Formats: sequence, C-alpha cells, structure tokens
Amino acid sequence: MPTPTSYAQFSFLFTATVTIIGWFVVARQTDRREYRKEVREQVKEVRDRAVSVRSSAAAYWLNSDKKLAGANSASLKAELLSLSRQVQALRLSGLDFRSEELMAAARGHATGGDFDKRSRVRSEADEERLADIVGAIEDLILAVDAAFYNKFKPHSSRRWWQFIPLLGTLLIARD
Amino acid sequence: MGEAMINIANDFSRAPAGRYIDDGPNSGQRFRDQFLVPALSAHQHITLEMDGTRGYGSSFLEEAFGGLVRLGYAADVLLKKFAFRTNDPSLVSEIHSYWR
Repeated sequence: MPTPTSYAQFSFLFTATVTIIGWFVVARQTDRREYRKEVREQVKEVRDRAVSVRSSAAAYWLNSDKKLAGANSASLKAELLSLSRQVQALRLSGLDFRSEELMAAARGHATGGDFDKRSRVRSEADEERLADIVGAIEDLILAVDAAFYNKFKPHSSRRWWQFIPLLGTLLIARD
Repeated sequence: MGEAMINIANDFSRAPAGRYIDDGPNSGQRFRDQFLVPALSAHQHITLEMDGTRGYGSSFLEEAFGGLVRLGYAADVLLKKFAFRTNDPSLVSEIHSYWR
C-alpha cells in the first residue's frame, strides 16, 4: 500500500483554512453590502429632503403674500432642521465630508439676510438669493455623493482577497 | 463669576425668529440683549443648550451671536467663554464663523 506524500497528508488542512477564511470574507462582504444599502437609503433621504428645502425656500422667498410668510418660514426652518439631522446621521454612518460647513452655508443662504423680517417686501434680489440657495444645496448633495463613492468603491476596484471564497470552492470541488 | 446655563427653548423661546426686536418677540436682538450680554457680564463660562427649538434662522443667529462682536466683544474671549450643547454641530460652526 503506497504511503501518502506529506502534501497529501496535510492538503485537507490547506483546503479547510482557505474555506474558513473564505467564509469570513463572504460574511464580511454580506455585512458590507447590507451596510452599503442602508447608507444609500440615507443618502436618498438626504437628497429628497434637500429638494424639500429648495421648495420651501422658494415658497418663502418668492411669495409676496405676508399672511403666508410665518407658515412658510416655520416650514423652511423645520426642513432645514431635518436636513441637518439627516446629514449628521450620514456622518455617524461613516461618510466623511465637510457636513458642518456645507450645512451652515445652506442655512445661511436660506435663512440669512432679512429672513423673518416683519417689513420684508419681495424684491428681485430674492431670485438671486434663491439661486444661491440652490447652489449651496447642490454643493451639499455633491459632497454627500462624493463621500459615498469614496467609502464604497465601484466594482472595478475589487481587492484580491475577495476572490478567496472562489479559491476555496475550487479546492473543495477538486477534493 | 461662575458658570451660567441658558436653555434657549426653556428660558427664551421654542420658536426663535427674526433679527431685530421689530421683527417679533423672539428675535436675535432680544436674545442677545436680555440673555447673552448679561450672562457675559456676570459669568466666566456660559453653556448654551440649543436643542429643543423648532429650528434657527441664520438671521436670528447672526444678530444674536455676530452682534456680540459688533458690540465690542473680542472673538477670542467669546470663543473661550461660550460652550454649546447641541445635536447639530453645524449650528456651532455657523456661530463660530460669525466670531472669526
């Protein structure tokens, strides 16, 4: 009866090790995929809220009806408060961007100057202000998107260790 | 000369709004003159609790906090004396921008 070579004796250890590492890699990839989905959902909520802020800002600054000014002002401040909280939540989820500076800029454009001024009258400057608000909101969204794709790289930049599960599968099939 | 604690929602208003006193009862000017300036004169450190309101407009923040610089308070003194408690760090960032 032929004696097995030392490689044959211990080859199962190699297969088992690769399989166990592969299991960890798959588990990690699954966690990361789920985490990516959650953060993407948060990013979508921030985008939707940013659109609401733009609409509320337009309603406040472009409306000349003084009776609606109080309600529009409260609505805009509430939208900004929600946006700020959602942006903060994105930071806590691990996205790294200049959230405080960009949020302060958006709020500054949306509610600065003669915002909430009792004697405010609608003027041409309000349209320029609205353009500034849209610009500040777009800067915020751009920074959020950039931070997202910086944290979650596209598929083209896969790491070598992500192929370990495939190697484990091939080894099991061979045995 | 100890520490002062101002809770904006409880001590001032849940709906801070407007820049000048003419704009309403919860304006930045009134908050500055009735809360911030007396606290600066009487206390070494002032902690501001900012959560609990229905949101802040920059016109309110600029008049209340930026107005302190216009009254003659030095920016470095203000930075040392004030501490902020809030879940929204962008508010602190904005206030500090008025002092620099």
